[in-house]
Amino acid sequence: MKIYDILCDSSSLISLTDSDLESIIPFLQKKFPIRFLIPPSVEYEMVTRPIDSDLREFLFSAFKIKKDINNGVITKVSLDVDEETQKLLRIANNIFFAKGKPLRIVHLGEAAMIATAKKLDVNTLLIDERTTRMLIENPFQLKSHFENEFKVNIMMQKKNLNDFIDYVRGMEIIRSSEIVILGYENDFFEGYNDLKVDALRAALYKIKYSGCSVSFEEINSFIGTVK
Amino acid sequence: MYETPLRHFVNDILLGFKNRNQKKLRKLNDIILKEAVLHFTKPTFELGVFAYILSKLVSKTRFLKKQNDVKFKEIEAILKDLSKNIDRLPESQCLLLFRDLENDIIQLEEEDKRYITNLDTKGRLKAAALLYAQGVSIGVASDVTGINKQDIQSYAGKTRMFDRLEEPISIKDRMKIAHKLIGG
Repeated sequence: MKIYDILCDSSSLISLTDSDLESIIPFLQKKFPIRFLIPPSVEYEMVTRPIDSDLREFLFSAFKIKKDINNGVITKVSLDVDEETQKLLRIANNIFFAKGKPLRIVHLGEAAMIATAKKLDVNTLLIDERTTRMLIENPFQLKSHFENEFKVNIMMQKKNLNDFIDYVRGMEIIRSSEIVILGYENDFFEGYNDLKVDALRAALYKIKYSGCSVSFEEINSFIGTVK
Repeated sequence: MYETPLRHFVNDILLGFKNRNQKKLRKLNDIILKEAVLHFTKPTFELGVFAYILSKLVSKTRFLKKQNDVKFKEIEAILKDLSKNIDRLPESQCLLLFRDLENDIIQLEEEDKRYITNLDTKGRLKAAALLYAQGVSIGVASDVTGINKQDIQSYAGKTRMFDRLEEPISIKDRMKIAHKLIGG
């Protein structure tokens, strides 16, 4: 049986746990041969740091993820990607230039996530964070966004752009909103009976409020297509 | 003397603070944080954050009480010191002046503690969310402001930032990717 892997970043797990929707992960895993993978940096951000630093607001989320790791629902993958990460970081942070200076837009953890996906040959990523996602999916749209925000011309360094595009070629991204919809399609909301479409809409709103980069327009137009 | 952009910002903040001009300080917060993304120096980020925090200080009557005059004077003195030294001191020493500023503000709040989140953290959180909205990643925003990703994400989720940009891929197309995961 083929097992499908998805590499999750911290932003998607933050949205799911904050919305109390993380139980969709084991729900889907029971039904389908999916492995939800995380790099060590995500475990550190989501579990180790909140617990060790006693970050009270995030402790419950931390224990929920820790439980999923301990139960094998979420699989931690440890790979040495330091060199690749540094290289990718250098490339990604030298694509956009404003007033002759490079815009530093990507962080070590985000670069490590992409490098891990590449090394594992995992093509599906679960990312709620907007910037890294847009950089992978449409860097030109990000350029326009910077120009709108800063009212300056943004230059793109062609070689770095092409190197980055080559590096992420084949990677596809879904957000926690799509995981929630996948849950809906597979009866996660069945207990809501005739309220299940309303429950789906409410869950999508909740995940948006928890920081998943999905718009109200996307949610509303999608709900309009749900039977 | 030639006024560098950083010194200019400090002087503007000092003026806004002295005049208890909340609007000016809020505007400076926006301008400086934009510059911070373009130039990426820690003191620029700190200045942006403090423009916001000071705007809050001058807008709340509870902080404007006579008994706080001494602390307000101390803040002005630190800003003057910063203005004199921001271009001369190494970054690490400059950041120490910002810590002095932070301590003064925390002490002001200690007198009348109303919220779990203090003004300093709130200012950093707003700055982090603004940086994320402008297009830097949540990891970078967290790194430069010292705010947890969870807090930034939660704050950003309650703003309209995700409604202002068209998504490069529709939900329908993303669901096709999701269906591949379950062998569909």
